[in-house]
Amino acid sequence: MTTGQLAIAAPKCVADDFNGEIVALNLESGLYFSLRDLAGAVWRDLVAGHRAEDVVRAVSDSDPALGGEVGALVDRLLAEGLLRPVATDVPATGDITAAAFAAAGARAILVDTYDDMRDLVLTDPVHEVDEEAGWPTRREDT
Amino acid sequence: MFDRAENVPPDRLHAVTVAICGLACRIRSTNADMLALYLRRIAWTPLPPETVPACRIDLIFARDLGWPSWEWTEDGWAMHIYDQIVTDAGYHAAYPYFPRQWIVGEADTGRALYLLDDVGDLPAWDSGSPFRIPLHWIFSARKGCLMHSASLGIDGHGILLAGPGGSGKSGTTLAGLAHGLSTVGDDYVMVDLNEGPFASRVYRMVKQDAAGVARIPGLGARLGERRTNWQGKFEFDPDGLFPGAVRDRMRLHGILLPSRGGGDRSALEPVSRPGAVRLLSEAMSGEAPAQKVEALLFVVALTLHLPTYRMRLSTDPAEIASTVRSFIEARLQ
Repeated sequence: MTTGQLAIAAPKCVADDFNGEIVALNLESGLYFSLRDLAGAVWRDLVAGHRAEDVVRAVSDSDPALGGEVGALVDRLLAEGLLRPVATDVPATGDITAAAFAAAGARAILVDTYDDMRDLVLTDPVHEVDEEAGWPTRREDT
Repeated sequence: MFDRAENVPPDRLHAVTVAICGLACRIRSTNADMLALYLRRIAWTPLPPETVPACRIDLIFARDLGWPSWEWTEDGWAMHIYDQIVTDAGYHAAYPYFPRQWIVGEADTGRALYLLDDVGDLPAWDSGSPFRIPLHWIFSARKGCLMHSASLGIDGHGILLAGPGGSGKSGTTLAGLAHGLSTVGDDYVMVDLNEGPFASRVYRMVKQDAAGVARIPGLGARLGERRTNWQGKFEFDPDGLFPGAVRDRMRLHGILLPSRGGGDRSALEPVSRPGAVRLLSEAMSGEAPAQKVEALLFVVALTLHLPTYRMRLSTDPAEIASTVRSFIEARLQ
């Protein structure tokens, strides 16, 4: 299981929190993801600087099975190239929210993966873009 | 440039503090007439002078201050490379499209600056939707986006109308207004995802060419002897012609991409998300080089929540309005 602090795997991943829904885009694979409910809470805890094992433990304390699912989610976020380990620990901000989130009934780990924009996302920003419009507008001759 | 703007003597600047889409914004200019013109076009509400602004936009004409022109002197540039250089340094930029025009912003502070040689260097398109580039930068920092889109709605719920110039956004908006629908804008609107997809009014003006005006019975007479703008379009405040039809904000339930189809019935056809993302990315902020990954992420998030349809427009404004109304009502059920 993944341990330690994690961060958004910039520059290959960009992500933002849109009213609780995390939308993350892997610019190398062309895949993008929507993380909602408990998955979004786990993401927020991780990028706030909480160690992966602390987030998993916080959920496992009240529901070991759900804690296992959270651990699997963390592994997947790394495997998909959305998060990466942090070399030097930095102080976390705020408290871990995932456990309270799950306790309040938001126990679904909702992760949707989309691959329908790979051609658009994987456009070479140097050789294939329209110079006037910029990335990701593809030149007509490519 | 920002240091120079910071040190302009206050008595050389005309300034107001207003709320635009609820955001306290300080606007300053060396030219009182241009400031007044811009304020007539922007949808703003007054704020007490002591309000601490969240952003600031300066419209400075170098000649008013006796400054030399700020010329780009290096040979060879590419917009996306220039844009990347300033982005890496923590700035936004929308220069150079033409000589002697700098439109720049600081990503962290919410300060933006037009530094132009003279009033005549102000791009004609800017006065149609004043400050749209810096406002896009400012809203982007707050999970929002100034989109080149129109809007129509019913009771605070509505749709975006997106597409390139000439596709029929303004004509569709006007058709809706003439037949009982409301709008938050027909050219640029602020879209945000803070509480779900919402569109907010940024500008007061609706634009339409003579042919579009002629399609709405009686509208030409009500517009009177107005002159057209640089695009040959009439500009007017829809609040005066369609009282109560202009809203400040509406919840979005879909995106329609109008195109001129002809016939007596409009037709709706679903658009794939990649197709919608491609088109909406280009609509993010018009002439601004906004094709950045953050903009793409915003559009992706928007299309995850809003279905997108191509709308082939009929020639009948009443039928177009009815189709939009039916679409919105169906999405509300």
